[in-house]
Order: sequence, then structure tokens, then C-alpha cells
Amino acid sequence: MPVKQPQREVTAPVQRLGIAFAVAGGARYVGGLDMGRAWVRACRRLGLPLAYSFGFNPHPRVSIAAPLPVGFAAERELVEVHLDARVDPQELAARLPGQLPPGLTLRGVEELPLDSPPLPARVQAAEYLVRFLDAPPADLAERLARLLEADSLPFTRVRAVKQVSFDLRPRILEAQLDTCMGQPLLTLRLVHGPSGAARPEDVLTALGVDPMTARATRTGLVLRDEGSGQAQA
Amino acid sequence: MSAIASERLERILPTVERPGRYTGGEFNSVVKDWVTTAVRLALCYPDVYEIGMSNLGLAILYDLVNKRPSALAERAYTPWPDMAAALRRAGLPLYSLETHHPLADFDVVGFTLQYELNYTNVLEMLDLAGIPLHSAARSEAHPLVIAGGSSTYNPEPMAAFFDLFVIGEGEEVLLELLDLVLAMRGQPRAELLRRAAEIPGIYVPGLYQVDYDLAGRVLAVTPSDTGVPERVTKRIMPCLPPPVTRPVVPFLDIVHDRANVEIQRGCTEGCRFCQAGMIYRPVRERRPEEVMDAVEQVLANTGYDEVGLVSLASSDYSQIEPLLEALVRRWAPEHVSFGLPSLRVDAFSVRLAGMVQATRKTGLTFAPEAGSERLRAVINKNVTEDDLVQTAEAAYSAGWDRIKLYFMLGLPTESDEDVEAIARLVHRVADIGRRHRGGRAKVHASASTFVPKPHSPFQWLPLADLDTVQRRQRLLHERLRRRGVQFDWTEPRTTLLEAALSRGDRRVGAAVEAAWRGGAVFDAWGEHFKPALWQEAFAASGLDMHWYASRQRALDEVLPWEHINVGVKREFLAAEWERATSGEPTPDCRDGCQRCGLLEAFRAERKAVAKGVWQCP
Repeated sequence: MPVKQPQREVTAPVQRLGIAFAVAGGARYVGGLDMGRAWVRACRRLGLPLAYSFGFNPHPRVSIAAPLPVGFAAERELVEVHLDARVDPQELAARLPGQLPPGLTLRGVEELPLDSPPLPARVQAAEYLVRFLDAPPADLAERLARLLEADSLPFTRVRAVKQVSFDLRPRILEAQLDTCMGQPLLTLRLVHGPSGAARPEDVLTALGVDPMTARATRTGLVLRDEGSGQAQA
Repeated sequence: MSAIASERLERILPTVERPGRYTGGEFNSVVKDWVTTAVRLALCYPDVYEIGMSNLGLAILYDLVNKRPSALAERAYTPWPDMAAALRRAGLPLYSLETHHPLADFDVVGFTLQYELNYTNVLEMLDLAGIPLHSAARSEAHPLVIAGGSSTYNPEPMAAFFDLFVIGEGEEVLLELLDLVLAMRGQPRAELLRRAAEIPGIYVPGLYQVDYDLAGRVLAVTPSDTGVPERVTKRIMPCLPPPVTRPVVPFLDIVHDRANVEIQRGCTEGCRFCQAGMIYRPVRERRPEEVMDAVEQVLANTGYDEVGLVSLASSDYSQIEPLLEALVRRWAPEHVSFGLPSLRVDAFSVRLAGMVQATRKTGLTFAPEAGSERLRAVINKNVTEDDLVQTAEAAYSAGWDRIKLYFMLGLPTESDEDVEAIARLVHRVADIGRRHRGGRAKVHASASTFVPKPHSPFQWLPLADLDTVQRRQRLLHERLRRRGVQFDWTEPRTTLLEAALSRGDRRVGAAVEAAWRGGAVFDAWGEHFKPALWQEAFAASGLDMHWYASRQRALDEVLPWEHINVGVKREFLAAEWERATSGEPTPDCRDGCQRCGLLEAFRAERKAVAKGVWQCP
């Protein structure tokens, strides 16, 4: 007979932390699931008292607020971590950078109320900055203006073999074209939530620009404020 | 040349599947200063990142070389066909993950060869790197292209493509080679190779001539220069080197995504079909305290929650039970689990598994290898049907739902009765499962096809007739139709190629090259394997796969790999084959020396270590 393990003490977490981080370099090509695992490992290297889920196959309660599309850089992504014992957020902020893989940069650690909804449920929009590798069409500004004037924009997103059709217009909250040192820059604020999300490449496609000729950085996530103390990014 | 500009990579990475394979930047990857580091080694695995990153051997060498101030080691894997095409379209060469330098800029490009079906990937990587495929075509301007790993115990099929092979355990000899490369920088390549051939364990194929008889069999392999050894004896580490405690932690979900601590090297069981059991002798164990320390460090350095305790036979490690008790006591509260590969078929192993899988009983794997007691006696797999029955009783009654059983088809002397015996065994196990676990009980039977490998007692034997193997696969498939029983088997044409490549001589290299030129790559991946192309490649090279794979070789024939000395004597292997035919058992060599020849061959190494470090009596 196998040696019986002492049953692990399973209790509710005592602390919840929100960690903000930037993504650059090779880490841009890390998918959402893989990013979650990278955070679990960073926390374990630090010896953080991670809280585990209940059940047959307990897993650490670490969640990425909104998976970053592969290939995107980011200024301020969010991950939340549940702990079984309290740690000092400031002390954690000092120790964490040494345990992060290259390409991930710590932006801050904040305590979140234990009873507020999970971060993934609070993300309502995301902001992006799009730069162009190849010069965009000369009339991009006019195209953008026409796009924003429309009441609705029936759009079909084609990815591999999957097609999704939706109205793109209500998912574009803001779109603005600027130039920075002679380079065109497109700033976007797009809906991101359980009922659907728009991605920068959707907007580019609708503008008639090949998304492969542009690169997006996610500059921040906009959270629904539920008295959490976590200001919008 | 310098590192590939990131803007150029940026153009292609977003266009390929899983670009994280090609970026590097993982935690614990070592990025040294390219300019000020004296000697630069690229470590290559000829398969995709997720496979190559799971290889412990390369992780050991990466760690070892990067610990040297004068040397750096960077990694490269075979780009998936989409990335290979993207690199070619963009006119970019294959590059290393750490600093994105073209492979051609390294002093030494080293491959590990673990599986013959990766051979075309070697050529693909050399071609993508812009390095001439043939050793003879390389000049002082090119890196030294070398290989090590289990497949190099028959280096001949790949002899044309490598400047040299490192035979055996690479921990010391690789560093000696790097020293030589550094000392001889600027000198003629031929001179470097001649000097390298003097290092024990290094085989420089270009310095040997192979003669054939009229029937095409190897007559002799002769050194063409003085100072070049007639036979190259593998290198071994007298005692296990310190374990890797700071391995690269991938972002991607790789095949074996866990920390690994090697607890034992070699295997004493003496299974006659097993190449690993012969080539990795002697058995050396790591002390339990050292394992405990290594686990502590590797977990702190990686953040993994799983540690594989690596060995060829976990149950044989002499302190396995106290070690597991200590590990579980220390680490279970921190949600760390342990993997135990290759458990013996007995109730003791079920108890061991219970210690490490107390909460999450994912499944147990055992390898009876053959169905009948008679055939198990032939292969010296000392497992009885009672052992298996007791093991299954113990496992299902202790709460496991799933048992996986590995068998081989095509073993020497196999008859239909032996195959029926596999079916009977599986049904017996399934019955036991149903009694204890009801409808939840599962048995997964897996039947691979046996390939007689070099340096094993069956090395002279032909690959089994594949029509017969296929008929027996269908027979088993038929017999094992039952709820809760899953059966899978290997594709015979893959087996034929593996046999031809692993038993081939120097001429087979031409077929490998022809196949690659015809478009063969990732042959180990079912969706990429093109058997017809390989048939053509062998034919175009004037060769026959069956001649290599399926021909019984005479005991006095010179085998293509005989100039590679693993320490186990040919007479021992022949005697083992004799004993196999009469079903005579050979005891585990922990219980008494079987005089395989290893202790004679490595007398000096044995003397260098304390008594008891080797599990030879």
C-alpha cells in the first residue's frame, strides 16, 4: 500500500496581490498560458506562499488579467497572485526583478481586496500603440475618419480556419492617428471583455492595412473599477 | 559576421507557428560576451525546440561549458518547416538562441544524435547555417562540426557529415577538445583533426579507410595515419559529475517540462535487446544526500513543481525508498511531485510510485517487453507473469486507474503464441483492473517493433520480417478489442528506416543526403515522414534498406561499428546471444560480475574511484 500523505491544509487565501509588468524582447512571443506558467515559476523561485486551488489536481492561483497576443510588446500587463501567508508588497517588489526572465520588467506590486472580482473579469478595454514597419497608405487619416464615422462596421476575422463575424465599430472606443518624429503612430482603445474584444489587427484590416506591416504595443489595460484600490492602468 | 539584426527577425517571427521556439531569452539561459569569450560552441539538437530542450545530455554540456570563463555555449534546434522556409525566403542563416549569431560563426558546432530518424534534420540545419554538408568540403573558415550521443555508437552512416565524433560521455572530452581548438587556432584544419584523433574518445572518420568485400560487407576499418587509434574506446566519467542545478527554464510547454536530477547512470539488468544497458555501463549511483541537495537547488533556481529522477531503472537505485521518503517529506507540502521513469514490474515499484503519486495517481507504466515467459527468458527480461499480476493487483487496489504496458514485437524467436500471450496478459491485467476499479480501469498496451541495435547481444540478428510483424499487430489489435483497453503500435516503414540507418555503414550517408535533397526532414514526425522518398534515396545510392536492416550477419563478419569500443567485449555479446537461444538467464550484474569486459577496459577509471561507487561487484 502506498504511504499515505498527510492531507494538506487547504484554507482560503489570506492575501491577493496585483503585479504590473512590461513585456519586451523575446518574451513578446510567449503565449498567454506560457506567460502564466512563467509567473508561477518566478513566484516559486522567490518562495512565495502561493495559494492552491481545491480539488483533485490543485494548481497555484496565479492568473494573467488578459492574455497578451503573441508578438505584442506591452507596457503594463497585470497578473494576480493569491497567497496563503501575507507578504509585504514593497519587499516583494524589491526581490521580484531578480527572478524574472529577460524581457519581463516589474512595474509595481499592489495589494488587492480579497473580495473584489478576479482581475480577468474586470478588464473592459485595452489600449494599444501601433507603429508601422512599412509606410502606411497616404490617406490613412481619411480612412480612419470614415471608419469612425460609420454607425456599424460588419467585420469578419479570419484566423487559420476559424472565422468570426461581428460588428467592429462598437468595439473601437478610441482611435487616433498621430505622428511622432515623422513616423505615423496609431493609438487605439479597444473593447476587451467577456462579450468580445477587438484587436489592433482587426482595425488595421478594416483600414486596408496589412497587419504584418505594423507592430502593436499594448500600453495598458482598462479595469472596471470596483472599489479595488487598483486604479486603471 | 555578426548577430542577426533583430529588425530582420522581427519580420519573420510573427509569421511562423510558435515563434517562442526561436527567440531565446529563457530564464537561466546564459548570454556571454561574444567578443571577449575565446572559444564558442553551438549545441544543436536535430529536432524541434520542445523535443531538444527536454534532452538532459545537452543541458549538462551547456552548463559545463558555460561555467568555463574561456568558453561559451549557445543552443540551436531544428526550425519547424514553416520557420525554415521563412529563414530561406528572408536570406537569413540559422542562428543561436542566446546571441542570435549564425551557426557558421561558432568555432565548434556540436550535435547530439539520439535517434536515427533525426539524421536529415542535421543536414537541414547545416544547410540553413550555410555550412558545407561534407566534412571534406570544409576549410579553416568553417566551424568544426561534431556529434555525440547514443546514435554515434555507430557513427558510420553520418561519417561524411561530421569532422569528428565524441564517443561516450562527453563531460571531460568536450572540454579537452575546446582546449585543443583554442590552442590550435589558425593552424591547418587537417592538423587540428589529426591532433583531435589523439584525444581518447574522439573518432575522426576522415582518418579511417573502410574496405568492403565483393558482397558489400565491411572487410576492415583502418586508420590511415600513425597516432590514430585502431579502435576508439568510449569515454566514461569515473563518477557522476555534479548535477545541473541551474537549467534553462523554457517559456514554452516542452515535452519534459520539469527539473531533472540524474540519480544513476547505466543499468545492471542485462536485458539482451537493450542497447542502453550495454553502452552506458558501468552503473554509477549518485549519493542520496547529493540528490537531496541537487533537488533543493534546482527547485530554488527554476521554480519547477516537478522533478524527474533520471535513470535507466529507478527501482534498481539502492537507496530508492529512503530517498523518496526523504524527498516527499521535504517537498510534498510545497506541491512538488517527483517522476520515476522505468519502474521494474513488481509490487515494490508500485509502493515507490505510491510515495510520489499519493495525491495525483496519473498512471503507472511498466515494460514486460514480451508476452510469454519463454520469450522473456530469451531477452533476459526477468519478469514473471506472477510479477505482473501482483503488480497490477497492487496498483489497481491502491487506487490507480490506468496502467500502461510496453511490449515489443519482432523479438528474436517470436512466434504467434508469444503474441497471443501478450493479449492474454493484457486481458488479465484488465480483469484485475475491473475487479478493483470497475469501469474506470484502463489498460494501455503499446507494442513497438524491435530493432536489433549495434553493441547489443542481438546485433547480428535481422530485423523481423515486417509482413509478419504487421500481421501480428493486426492480431493483437483484434485480440485487444475491449472496453478500457487501448492498443497502439509503430509504423513498420519507420522501423525499417530506423533499422537500416542504425545498422548501416559509411555508404548509407549517401542515402541520407539523397533523402534530404529530395525533401526528407523531420522523419520522426508521422506527418512529415515520406517512406517512398527514402526507398528512392536508397535505390539512387545503389543501396537496399533491407540489406542493412534485415540481413542476418555472420558472427565472424566485421560489423560497421566494430572499431567503436564500448568496453563490452564482442565475445560477451556473442555468448549472451548463445544463452538467449537456449533461454538461459544472465543474472543482474549487481549480484555477480558477468565478465562483460568493461572492468578490463576501464581499469584505470575504476581505480580512480572509491569502492562502491560503481555497482559492479
